[in-house]
Amino acid sequence: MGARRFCNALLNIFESEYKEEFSREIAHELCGVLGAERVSLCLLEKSKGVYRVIAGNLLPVFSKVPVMLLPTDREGAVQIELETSTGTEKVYGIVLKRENNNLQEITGLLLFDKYSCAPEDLARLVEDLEYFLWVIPRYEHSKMYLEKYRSLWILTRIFEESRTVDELLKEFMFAVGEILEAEYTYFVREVAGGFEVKNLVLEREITLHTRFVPTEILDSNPLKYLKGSDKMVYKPTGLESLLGTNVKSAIFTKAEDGWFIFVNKRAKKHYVQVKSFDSLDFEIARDATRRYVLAKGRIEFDIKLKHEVEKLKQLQESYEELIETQREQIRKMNAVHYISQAMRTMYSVKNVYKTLLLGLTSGRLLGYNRALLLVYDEKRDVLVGRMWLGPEGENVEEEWRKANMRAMRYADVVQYLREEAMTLEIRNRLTETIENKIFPYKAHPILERCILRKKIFIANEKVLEAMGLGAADLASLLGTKDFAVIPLVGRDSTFGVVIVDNFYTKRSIKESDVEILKLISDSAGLAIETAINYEELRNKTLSLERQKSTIEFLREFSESVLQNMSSAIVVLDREGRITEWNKKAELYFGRTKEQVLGSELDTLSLESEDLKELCFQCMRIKEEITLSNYLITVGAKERYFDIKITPFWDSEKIMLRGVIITLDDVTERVNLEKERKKQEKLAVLGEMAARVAHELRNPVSVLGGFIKRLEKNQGDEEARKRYIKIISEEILRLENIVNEILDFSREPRSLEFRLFDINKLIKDVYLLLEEKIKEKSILFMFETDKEEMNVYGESARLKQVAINLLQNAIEATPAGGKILVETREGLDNIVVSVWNEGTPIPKDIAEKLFVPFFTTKVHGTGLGLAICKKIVEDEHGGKIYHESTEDGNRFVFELKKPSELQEVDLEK
Amino acid sequence: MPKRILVVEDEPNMRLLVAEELMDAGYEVDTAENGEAALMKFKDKPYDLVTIDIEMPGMNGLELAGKLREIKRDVRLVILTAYSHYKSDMASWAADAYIVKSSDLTELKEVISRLINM
Repeated sequence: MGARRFCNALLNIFESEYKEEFSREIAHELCGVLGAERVSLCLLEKSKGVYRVIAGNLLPVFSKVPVMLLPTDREGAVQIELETSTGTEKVYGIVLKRENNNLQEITGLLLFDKYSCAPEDLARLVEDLEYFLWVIPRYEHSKMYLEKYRSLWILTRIFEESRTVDELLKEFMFAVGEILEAEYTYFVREVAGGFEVKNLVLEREITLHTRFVPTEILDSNPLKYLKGSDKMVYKPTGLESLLGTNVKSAIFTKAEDGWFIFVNKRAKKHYVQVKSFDSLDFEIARDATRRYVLAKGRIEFDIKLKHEVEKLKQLQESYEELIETQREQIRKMNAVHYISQAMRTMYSVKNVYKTLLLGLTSGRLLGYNRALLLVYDEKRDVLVGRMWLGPEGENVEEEWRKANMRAMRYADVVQYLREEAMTLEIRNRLTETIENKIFPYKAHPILERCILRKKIFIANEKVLEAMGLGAADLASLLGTKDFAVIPLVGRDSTFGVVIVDNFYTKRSIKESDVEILKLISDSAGLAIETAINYEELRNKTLSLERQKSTIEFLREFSESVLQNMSSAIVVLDREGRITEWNKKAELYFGRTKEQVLGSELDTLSLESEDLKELCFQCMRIKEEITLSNYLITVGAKERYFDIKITPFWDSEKIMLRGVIITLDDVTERVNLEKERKKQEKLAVLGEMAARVAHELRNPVSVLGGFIKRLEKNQGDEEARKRYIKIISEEILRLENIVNEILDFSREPRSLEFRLFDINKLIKDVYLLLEEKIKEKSILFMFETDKEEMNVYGESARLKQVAINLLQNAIEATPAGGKILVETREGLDNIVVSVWNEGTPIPKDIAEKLFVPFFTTKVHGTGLGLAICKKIVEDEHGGKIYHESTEDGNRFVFELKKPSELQEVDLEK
Repeated sequence: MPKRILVVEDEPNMRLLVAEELMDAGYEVDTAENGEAALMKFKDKPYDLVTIDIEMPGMNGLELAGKLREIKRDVRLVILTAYSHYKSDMASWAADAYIVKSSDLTELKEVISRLINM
């Protein structure tokens, strides 16, 4: 027999759809060898305990022969009775076995109706068959295994490529279902009140259907399958109602949050020994499910990671944004510092303005597109257009580029600002549109707020809309609705406003710029104030040279005038009527004798406060009254007179006839004295420069130094706070110095005199300094003549004097020492003294105590006592001086007693 | 071993500024708020270089410079002051350098580096 052909025929039965011809071929071959007419070949199906007919014509193909029918321990052919197609008949059967590891394994059965071959031929045939039936199913099995393992590669791809858990689940169920050749694939998990069942459906594409199966419709609880470890079951019960299908065999594998159920091996058209899942399938499902859990974890982790990375990215972005804003803010602060520095070095107000506008618009500094300056006109009480800086040509970019090139030539920004500002031509087309134009600020919704309330205003479309038509003028002038209005704030007044915008770049002005602009606003105000003071100083210095030569001349001249001038004489009778009026009087007052005789003094339209009263007083007290530097206004002219009012007796010196008034014109002398006072002040101002430079250098250096450090250490939050604190301290110190200097150098302003109790003022000052006094354990004493002691003056100014004296006293008193403050009422004055225990001041130093800029302290302007002197003597007409005592120093100031009239004032 | 510097300055913020800048420049820095304190510290452990402010309460910078020089002949002394008109008298103070205070401490640092890193 052709063993090869036989073998091929057998293989075909396993591998392809069943075909009659293979069965016939095998039957033909077997009959030929055996000498039989009908023959059947069977394979053992162990699980069912039957032999299954796979070929031949004795029995129908695929029919079963129970194993029991044949003894398995008998060698050779055995005769048995079988139901065949022709009825019960006796046939021969040979059990086919194979020795394997000393165990006899039955593999199949050969049946035939008769035989005629030699016994050795029969033995050879059985041997061949035994071999084939043993090896072919194994070979087939191996092939199938190989196929399955190969399929597992697909899983690897799915695990790698799936991006979402849903996708993974779907692909996984499909792939494993294919590998296991499962009829159905499910994913089931227990949910509240029932089960969620997902099943794979093959429509146009693979989809997962999900449905909810409530517990109450189930025949039996499937939880027995969905518990414990993975399992493989045959003919399970109670699953049909859950899965909706008849289950013959199923594999359950547990995946974290649910179970995969692979149901029923698909039916095959060719012959298979096993028709349900086997242990290999189970292993594969189990293994795949484990890998699924891992892959799912990976995807979830990936997604989480991606989410975290995204969050981190956002965090980083916002952090970077924060740093960028901070850096920008510091850059702007620096710019403000540079602009302030440049403005401070300008000696004329105009140059300060130019520096300011340049600083605001320069790309190297604050970089606004345009800056418009409106200055406050005191006389007209309006704002007037002054300068407008910004690109004006067609090619804005080009102008900026050129300006930047100029700016980059300078290493030092401050120097650039200074030089560029000085040479800057402000007569440009922009300026022309606004120059000398009047901008009324009163009742203007923006400008009034800026000027009167000194507030920075940032405009944008919304805000302007809310303001209505009132604010539309600025928007239409600028051609934009995004701009900022910055007042230039001095100590007492506002000098004007600067309006900045970004007309070309359309960038809106940020709220955060307010802080920066506030600094600019203050610093510009201060610089303008300083420049104004400086301009005054310079004008005075210029005229000083001229005046020096004329001073001598004026003095001589006034002397000669005095010499050559006979006095004006006016005589009044007891009723106050003019009885005499000499030539000089005619000359001084522009009235002829004829015009004035018989009229009273106050009808002469002379403005003199109380001349008439003084004349009557003279008649009452019958004593001479002298007045010096007495102001009489004649028409629009102010003239000063030394006046003597003498009682006019009759020849017997018994009857008072009236008064004789002698008037000497001393206007020239008074003016000269005023002039000399001014010059004294100029000399003082000269000394100021050196002292002020020294005094300012420390705070300015420290300020600049820490601003640089701030920039360098901007990342360090702790250092930043500390530096900002130091910077604020130094700015405060600078302000105090500047205030003192301004206070001293300023023209005396009009004071608001009123009556007040000096004792109360002393008590207020004590409270103010109480802490310092207690700190040094000083014994403070206060003595007074009267409970309430009124003086006439400006209390705020005199309070400053008292504070200054007491502060000095505290500083000079050793710890545990004494301070005594006294207020005494003299004949015509009020005396306030501050005494402290300590070393008496030596004479040579005591002489200079009230000299401006003289100080024994290491720091300080040396203006404290000079300011006190100015307040007491210049402003209040009093006296201030120092006395050394045996064991201390006393500073005294005297004020005139208030007149009766002023007292009356108080009673009202 | 980093070089050791003593900063003598009565203004607290100025003192802090100079000290921080010099520390950043890699020196070991101590501070004193007046001449007396400086002298005590210097006697305790001499320094390579001392920066001295002129105007101080009590002993002034010039006196201090002289006394430091007596203790240690080769100590480097740098006068750091707000006054600019003292410069002409520098020789008589036996100081090695004279620097006018400024927000920019580059000059100070350069001079110090020249004086003690030779």
